Amino acid sequence: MNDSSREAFIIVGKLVLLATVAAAVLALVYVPTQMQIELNREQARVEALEDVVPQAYEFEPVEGDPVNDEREVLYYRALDEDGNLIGYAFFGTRMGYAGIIEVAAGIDPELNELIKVKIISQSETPGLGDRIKDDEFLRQFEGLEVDNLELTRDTGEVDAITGATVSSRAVVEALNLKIDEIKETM
Amino acid sequence: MNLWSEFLRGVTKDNPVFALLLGLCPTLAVTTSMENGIGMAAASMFVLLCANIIISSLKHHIPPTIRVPIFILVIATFVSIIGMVMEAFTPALHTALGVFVPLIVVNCMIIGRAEAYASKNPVSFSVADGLGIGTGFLLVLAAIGGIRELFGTGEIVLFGLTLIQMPIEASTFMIMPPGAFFTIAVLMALVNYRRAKLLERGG
Repeated sequence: MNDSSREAFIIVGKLVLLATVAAAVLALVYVPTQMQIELNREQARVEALEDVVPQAYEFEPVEGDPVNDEREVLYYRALDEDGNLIGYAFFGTRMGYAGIIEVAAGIDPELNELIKVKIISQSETPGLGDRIKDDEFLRQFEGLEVDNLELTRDTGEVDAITGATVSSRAVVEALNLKIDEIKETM
Repeated sequence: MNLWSEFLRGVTKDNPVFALLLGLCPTLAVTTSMENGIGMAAASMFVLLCANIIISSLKHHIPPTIRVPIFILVIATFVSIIGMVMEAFTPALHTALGVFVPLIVVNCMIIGRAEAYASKNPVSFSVADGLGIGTGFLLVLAAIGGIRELFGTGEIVLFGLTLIQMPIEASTFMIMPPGAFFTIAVLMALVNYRRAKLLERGG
């Protein structure tokens, strides 16, 4: 082996070695932190439920049919202190403009009127689409009848954010899809 | 040259923001409150210190032709670690700092110290340098964050404790991006004025 190829071999070897060590260290940190991050997410979801049905005392998950032995939570029954049903809370997802939008919402027991809507996660354009998480937009959903849950331009009563129709429509669709799904299971 | 003077040099003469003018992007972007400023500076300091230690101890084994990729690899590893740890244990701070945590990788302050200092000096001095530069960064970010928070919201709240409350009309301007430029400009003018005075006296 001549000198220059020997040198190249050493350089590549060192980089590979260092990258391997780095990957191993990251893997060691990843496992425990990821467990904690998962717990945090669970915590955030519980808080979101309390947010969208503020009067609720506890939430009772309603599970769908088992798929591969795993039951998915379809929605939550919101109960007051005496165990009376005061509404439902649910999470919905829909593809927005730049990524998946996840929303949480509370609805009355008759599935007629929304109580409150909250954005759980989104990656829409900063300054445009990400305004779906602003109160100004979300306030429209408080007390909104499900029949009017469409954008104003699509025969509904939700005003889209200027320049962010796709994001606004994704929120509305995420809610409608889940509400239809809940209706079907009842 | 002793360790203490190397540490102090990072806070004063080689202060990353006011003397070297490095790391200005996070300095301007995340200093909307004192807490955010301190969180960002602490994360940067951790990365800077760890990168300095590793690079300084490996300096005889790093081929000059690939030193920059190696610096970036080392720095990126520590940034990923601190990113994951912050997301797990300080989720609110992680959300507030957002994209600026992964962007520590390209903070010139850190790669600058690796290239200019850690790759040429012993480990002990590199530790002092990392701590000094990190502390300098922390003080500046805390100061800018504190000033912006005080005038922008009328109070400084640090880790749930209200430090100062001022009966002024809060101007949102200060916590918006222009407030960052305004604050850093005023502070830098003061620092340079003082430096010029010292030079005049032949200091």
